[in-house]
Amino acid sequence: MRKGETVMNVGRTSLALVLVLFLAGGAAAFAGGAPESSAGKPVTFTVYFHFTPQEARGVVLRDFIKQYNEQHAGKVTVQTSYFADWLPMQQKIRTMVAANQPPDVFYFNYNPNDLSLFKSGQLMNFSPYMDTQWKSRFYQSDLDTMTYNGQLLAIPMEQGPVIFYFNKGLLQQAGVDSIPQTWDEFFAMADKLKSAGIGAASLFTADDAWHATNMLSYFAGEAGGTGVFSGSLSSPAMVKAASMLQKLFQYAAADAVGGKWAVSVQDFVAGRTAVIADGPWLIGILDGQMKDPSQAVAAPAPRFTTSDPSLVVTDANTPWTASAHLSDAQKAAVADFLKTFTSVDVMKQFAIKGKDIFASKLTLTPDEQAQAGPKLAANIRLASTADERMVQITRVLKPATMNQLPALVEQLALGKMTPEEFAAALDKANSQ
Amino acid sequence: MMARILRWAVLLAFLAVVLLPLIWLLGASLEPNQELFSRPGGLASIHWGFQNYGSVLVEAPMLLYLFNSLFVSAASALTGSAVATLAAYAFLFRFPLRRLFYPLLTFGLFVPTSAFMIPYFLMVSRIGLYNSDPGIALVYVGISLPTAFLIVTTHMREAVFAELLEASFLDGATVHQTFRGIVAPLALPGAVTAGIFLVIIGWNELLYALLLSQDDLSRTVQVAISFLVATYTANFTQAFAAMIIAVLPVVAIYIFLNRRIVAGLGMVVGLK
Amino acid sequence: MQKTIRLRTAALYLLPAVLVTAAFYLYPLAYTVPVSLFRWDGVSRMSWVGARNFAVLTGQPEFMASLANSALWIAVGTFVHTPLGLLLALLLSRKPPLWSLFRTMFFLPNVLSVASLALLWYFLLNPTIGPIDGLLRLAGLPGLALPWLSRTGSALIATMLPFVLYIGFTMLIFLSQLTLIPREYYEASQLDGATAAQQDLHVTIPLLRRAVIINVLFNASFSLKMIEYPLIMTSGGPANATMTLPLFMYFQMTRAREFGLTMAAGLVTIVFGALFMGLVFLLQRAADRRWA
Repeated sequence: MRKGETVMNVGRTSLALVLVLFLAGGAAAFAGGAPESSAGKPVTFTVYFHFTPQEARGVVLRDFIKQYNEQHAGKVTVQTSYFADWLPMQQKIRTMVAANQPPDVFYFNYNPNDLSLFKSGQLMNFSPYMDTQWKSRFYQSDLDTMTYNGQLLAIPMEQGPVIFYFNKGLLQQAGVDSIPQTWDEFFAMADKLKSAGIGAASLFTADDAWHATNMLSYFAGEAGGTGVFSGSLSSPAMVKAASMLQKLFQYAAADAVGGKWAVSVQDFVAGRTAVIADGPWLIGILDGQMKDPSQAVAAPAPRFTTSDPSLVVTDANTPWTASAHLSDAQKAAVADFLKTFTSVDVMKQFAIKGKDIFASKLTLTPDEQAQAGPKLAANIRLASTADERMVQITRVLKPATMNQLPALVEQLALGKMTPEEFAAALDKANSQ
Repeated sequence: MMARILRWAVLLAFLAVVLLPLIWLLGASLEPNQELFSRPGGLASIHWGFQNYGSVLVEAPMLLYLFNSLFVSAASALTGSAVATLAAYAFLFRFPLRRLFYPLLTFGLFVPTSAFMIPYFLMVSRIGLYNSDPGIALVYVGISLPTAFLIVTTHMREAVFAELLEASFLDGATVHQTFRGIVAPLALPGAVTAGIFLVIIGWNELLYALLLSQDDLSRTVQVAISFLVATYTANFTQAFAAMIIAVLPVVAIYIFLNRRIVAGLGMVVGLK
Repeated sequence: MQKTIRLRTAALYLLPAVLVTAAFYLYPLAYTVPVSLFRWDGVSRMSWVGARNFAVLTGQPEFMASLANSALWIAVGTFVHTPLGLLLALLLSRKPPLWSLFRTMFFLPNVLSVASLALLWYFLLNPTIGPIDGLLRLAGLPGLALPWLSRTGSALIATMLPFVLYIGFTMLIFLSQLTLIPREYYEASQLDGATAAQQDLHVTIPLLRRAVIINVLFNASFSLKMIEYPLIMTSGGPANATMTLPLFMYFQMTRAREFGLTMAAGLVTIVFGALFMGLVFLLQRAADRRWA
């Protein structure tokens, strides 16, 4: 029958179409994925990263890789795999590591409570390649941290400090003449800002609650010293920090609970809040998107009393590492690549043009600091002159605790939990 | 009379609920990101224009991403509905172990496939299809099969009357001939519906598109959009523009195939 | 009388589907279900904990909240989303003026990915820059311009809004089934003097029960798999108010790195879904007996 024939034709055509599509796609896949064969071809490896093409450090990294390829043309070709989203990239990396196929070169956040990557045996051993000259670029303590079972399994790279920014103009508008130096002055400022209808803190609780946990880290680090996250999390210092965070949420925007990082940042950019605490990547956004970037001033974090030691909270050390399954030629190439990456000249470029702060030893001349711009210069100065340094709480908790922290912060913010209960819950989660 | 007014009220209310957010989306896609946040309502911009669309199309190979999405959706939809239709045909009959096969093919509906990242990754990379469109399409066939099967089965049961089958067998046709001649044409609308579902599922899937792609070669449109709303670098209005760009091909195909869909599905003639 | 065929003949038609199921469901389940008895971070060696994972789950308020919320999602899917889809399908089946346009429009949001819709509604519901609160303020109701996604009382319903309002898929399945109802049924009832509404009630709906079943199942499956709405709109908060089973699993896997707990929760999800499916089929058989 006619209808049957039409269907047969449709069926046949679809089948043919499917076959053609699969064959074409398969051919392309196999062609694209053909491995580099024998000698004479350059050594290649793929670097995974998440710096966007629009941000300063993304531009600098891409330029550096391009230059490196040109300098080593014919011998080494560095390929790139770009994932804009940090969390999915990390998730993918871990999936690949679990399948014994880690990416060639990648980076991750170092967490002393989660050494799974080190234990996996999937990371390249850099010890044979770490000569005295390269070693001199790093602090020994950082190198020790990245050493597991006597093998250096990752190269210390980025460690961004979390710096306070105050919007001068908004402060003046609310009748606050100077940037607060103590927490009492800070909350007094917050009250004045609130009367003027301005928020006193950019906070959010989605994802890792970064801004909120920055504040918590500062409160706790100053109340209990830099070891406050190592022991019990229900210490009086933690309770005090929790109560201060609870108070701070009253000065935050209406959508702080459940809000996202980008929205919190835009609140500061748009002048709805007057205070924000974040890493060096914020500089590019402030300079590029604020109506008057000079209004945002980096300042030391307030303290309990002016005679307290000054503290700077930092992001995790984000080391770069490589796959243990690379060939010897590839490993040598990777080591050379990273050595060049961490050289003084390249690191300076990253600091000045890329607005990024690295864990390797770096001093900028006043000229270079001027080039880097006032915000980055302030970042570097504050980070290097602080009496004490401490890593932010979310980077040192056990992953399971980290998973529960945002919800606990939300309960604290909504008044459903007392600071004591918060600290106790946090401690309980971290002890399992 | 009252019924008529009610009917129109409901239709128009739903239309508003559908259109107004999309209009807002369109408006927001036409302004720079900061201005989305500058005033209540989100649309009080002063710099209207197509900058976001321009930058999305220029900064990333959107056409390549659209092709990948199209390949992946079309391939998985065609394969999936074909596989589902074949299987559904078997269930028009009685055969040994039938009671076993039905739950086997449908239990996947409630299985959380997002927990299978490691096994899927292992499988796809072992057969050499990592970072390729066919690899992603294959996984999509897998995760959407229970859905396709249920749609086709439900439709086939109603569309293929027992009498038709009987007549065909009385005429001496074999099982295979009956499929080609009688059942396949009748099953087509069901297969088409399943195909539509699968195309959209494939077009909009994100988790495995991210996991199984490494570079532009196999990147789909949804991955590109997710990059624009990355946790720490979100440019929302640009993402909105990308979302609208991502939707256009599907809308175009839908409008183009609208007549065929209508002809295939037919409509019950209502009585006013 | 259904014809009986040999298993060998049926196997030919079943083979592709069985292979796909084996590869994408049986193999991964065999790989991951045993993990529910271990503690594993996805990379290191696994350590045996037996049934302890399940005990840990019941002790976690996060998990219990996700059970309750997922049950609510399924309830909303069954008693709100599906009937709305049915209503619109019935309205459109009568071909009012512009019915084709309406049908396209109602299906349009479902063509946008769920992730896109979630992000869109995050902004629509935002108290500072969202148009909904903006309009409420303009209309002189600033008291109603609440941060819907930030309050435990309203967040869950807020995350369900796009799910309830965008019924394109559901409507499509109903429309596709409606075409199979023979005209004669309507003509007969019209001769009896039935109004359109009475026809719908007594003729159409009973004949659509298979489509209702399918839609209820699909919506339940969606609720047990979808993470985008609670993830993108509220990140599971505030204070776990919007946490669902799939999101709980996702966080356990990607944030807490507890694969054992993930798979244990996965097993609970599968059992949850299987029980629901069983319940639905039981009800279907009862309905079949009543209306067959």
